[in-house]
Amino acid sequence: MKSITNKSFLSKINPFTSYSMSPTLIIVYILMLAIIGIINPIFIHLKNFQAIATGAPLIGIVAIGMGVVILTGNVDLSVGSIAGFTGIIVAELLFLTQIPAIIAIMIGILAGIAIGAINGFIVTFVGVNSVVSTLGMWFALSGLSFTVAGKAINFHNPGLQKLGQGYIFKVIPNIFFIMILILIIMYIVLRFTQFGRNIYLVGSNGPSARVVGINVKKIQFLAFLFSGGFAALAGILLISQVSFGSSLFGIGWEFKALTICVIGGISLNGGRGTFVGLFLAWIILGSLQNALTMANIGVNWRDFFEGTLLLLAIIIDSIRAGRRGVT
Amino acid sequence: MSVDITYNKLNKEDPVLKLTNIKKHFGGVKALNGVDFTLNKSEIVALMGDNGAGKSTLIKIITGVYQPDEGEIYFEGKKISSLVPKSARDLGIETIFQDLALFDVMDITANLFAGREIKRWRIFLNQKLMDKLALEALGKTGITIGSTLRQQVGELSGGQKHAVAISRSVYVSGSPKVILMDEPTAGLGVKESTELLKIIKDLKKSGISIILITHDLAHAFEVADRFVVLRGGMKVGERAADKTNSIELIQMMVGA
Repeated sequence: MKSITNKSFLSKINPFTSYSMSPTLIIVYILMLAIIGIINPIFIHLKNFQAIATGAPLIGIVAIGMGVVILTGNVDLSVGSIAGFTGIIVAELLFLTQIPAIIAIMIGILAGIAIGAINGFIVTFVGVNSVVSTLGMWFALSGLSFTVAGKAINFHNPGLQKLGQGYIFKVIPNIFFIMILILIIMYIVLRFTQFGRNIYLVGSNGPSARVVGINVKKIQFLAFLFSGGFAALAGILLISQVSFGSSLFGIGWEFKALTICVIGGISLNGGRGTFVGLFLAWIILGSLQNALTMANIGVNWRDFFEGTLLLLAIIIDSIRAGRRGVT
Repeated sequence: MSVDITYNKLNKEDPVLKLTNIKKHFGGVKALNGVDFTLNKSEIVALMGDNGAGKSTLIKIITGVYQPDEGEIYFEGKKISSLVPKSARDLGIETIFQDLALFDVMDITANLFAGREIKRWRIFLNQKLMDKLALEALGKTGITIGSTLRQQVGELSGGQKHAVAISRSVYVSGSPKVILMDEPTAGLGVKESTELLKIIKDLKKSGISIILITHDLAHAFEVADRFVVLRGGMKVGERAADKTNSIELIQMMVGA
């Protein structure tokens, strides 16, 4: 049945009154292209899109994993350190041994899932608030990363290099393709499967979900496996781009991923938002970072800018939730 | 504290639901201290009691949300150990909680099929079929939802939300045997309450047993066959509807 909502076009693009953030984001992106394109025409050049598609997909993958957790009503602030830590593990493995790249990747992703399982266990079984517990995990993993890898771990693995630095059809970066693939799969899962439906139900009203027989704890636990696994994948792809692992990788990723999710319309209250919005937010933020870099704006100013954006996004999310009357 | 059971024992079959000596405590508080409860087929029982008397706890035990510390639960004569919300639903025990347990940010179809979505090839949701059945179920309640199925339930009126909650428990669930309603008419206008009470009577006619928790004695007398009164976690009285009145019930509730 098609939606016959009577909402006007304006109310659909107004982030405070529209159901989905996507229309707003599309307008914002078009404006961005127009304004920045006039100031710096290189912005609209194919090569520049390629640059964005090389630098940004990693954080997009992390955001996808985090998005699943946020949809269930929790948050995972340890994803950055999971990415860094698993990257170090895989780098170390490839440095010390001659195991095939694919094995190393699998071990790395399993490690990420295992850490996600610990996060999930603490939040659902022990009952600790996810903000606090994943922050603790972030702290612990960061410390662990620094002790394991005092300096950069160089390795040489052509297979992995091809993965991280290669292109499909000579124009599309491999990592961009991987991100899109994951995005499409997760979108299908969330929208068209019972598991995905359960995630939304749990996030929108946990007690009601329990009443209708859904195992709320199981769903919340599984969400952390996604955030851990995808964070690990991103960490591994990062080291494959540069052929070394470092304990400095992944720092700050959780906040960037959080920004993408919240701007993308995935509400911190849970149960709201789609990965279409997430994708649009990723495009916007990736392009923004690209534009700022081209304008030679220093890293610290960029952080300030992005931090402000995150705050803004959270405020808008809060207003949207308030207008709907959160359950 | 005499327990006066004076309803007509018309059916010699096992009662649909039988709870014996149910005890439940939370910390030091004894929410239920040895309560027996029976529900027969096609019977409407009004569960009465002041706040804190134990009504909600008893309901939550019947629906599997809580597990009793002591006591037994029998469904159609069979003893049930460890009842959880899913198994309660599978048995045919449906609940309409006071807050309706709906999902405000999700649409009508999603609410109706929450927890028991119809699937294609075992993993994919069959949205078209669910939408079709949703329309049929809503139609049976007689309360009209003027908008599309994609409407967020949080934006519906109180009566419409009740229609969705009832549709979910009655028509989408297959064939429920027991329906529990916690303050069903609370917050409803006169017209909507009347419609709801009519639906309750129709349900009874189709062989469903109903447990009603309500503070509205007038509404209770309109539909109930029997009253069970709790006070301080114990059953203090049981009366057939035609053998009692408001004053006696209130006296039992407050302990006068």
